[in-house]
Amino acid sequence: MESSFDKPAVNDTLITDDALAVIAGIAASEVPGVAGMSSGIAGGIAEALGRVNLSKGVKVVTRESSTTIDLYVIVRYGYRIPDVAFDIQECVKSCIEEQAGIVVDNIHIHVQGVDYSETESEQT
Amino acid sequence: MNLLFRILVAIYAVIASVISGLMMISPFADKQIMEMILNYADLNLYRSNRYDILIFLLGLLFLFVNLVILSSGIRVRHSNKTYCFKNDHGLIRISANSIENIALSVARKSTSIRDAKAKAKFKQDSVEVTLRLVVYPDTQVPTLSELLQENIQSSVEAMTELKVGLVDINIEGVHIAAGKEG
Repeated sequence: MESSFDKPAVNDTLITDDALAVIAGIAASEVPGVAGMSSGIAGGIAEALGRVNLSKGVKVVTRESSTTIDLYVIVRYGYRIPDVAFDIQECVKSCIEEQAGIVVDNIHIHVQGVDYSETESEQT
Repeated sequence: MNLLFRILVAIYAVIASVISGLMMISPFADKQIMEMILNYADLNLYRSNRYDILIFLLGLLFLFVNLVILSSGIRVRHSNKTYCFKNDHGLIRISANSIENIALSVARKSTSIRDAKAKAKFKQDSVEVTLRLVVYPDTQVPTLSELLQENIQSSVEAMTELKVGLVDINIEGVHIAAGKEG
């Protein structure tokens, strides 16, 4: 797995992409309007087998000095998707800058679906 | 492609069931009759060269159908078209599935709809939704569809800022139940 170096702090601090993915995943799922993260077919199988995956639906790619994060989310019904996406980007960006000291260049949001289960739609 | 695929699968299923039926019968059937059939097949199909090409083509068809069925499982489904736009932090992609879910959730709210299926297609800067419905009896279809079209259009536009081009509604059937609750 590729890793990114923590530039501003100590030189030998190493933050793996996995750690970043966990931070991003938790940050994203706390944004209002996000019903959950969507893990593809492989992730679904892993989940069915009982593996809890905190970085589910998050892909982190680090190349030399730039970091790109792809988030696969499911949005709750009734929220405006552009706004939710922007909130996720802001939240993930600030969280990662705060916790890892890494500046994220691009955060791509992939809205994989909309959740419209009864309880949710009645709340909104 | 879809129709062709279905026809192929149907042919495949028929051939496979004939073969499996023969396999099931063969241990219990009259040995003489089985021998007769085998002899007939041996003489007419195997020994004579008349049907060589036909048998080869049959094998080829079988192989082709097998390959199609195999590849249909492998093909990635969710990559079917997304709507993509950019803001200062990166890209945002909205899958057709999300539009379909929005349309479905609108349809679910109506009490006169028994079952609904939605399909969304992205055009240049708009989205087209096709709804297929099974309704309960005593529904006024024109009123229902007008209401649905308006609601789907407004909620998709409110949630995604995408323009809704068309909302097609197909009534596929009317549900008849013995003990309908309403």
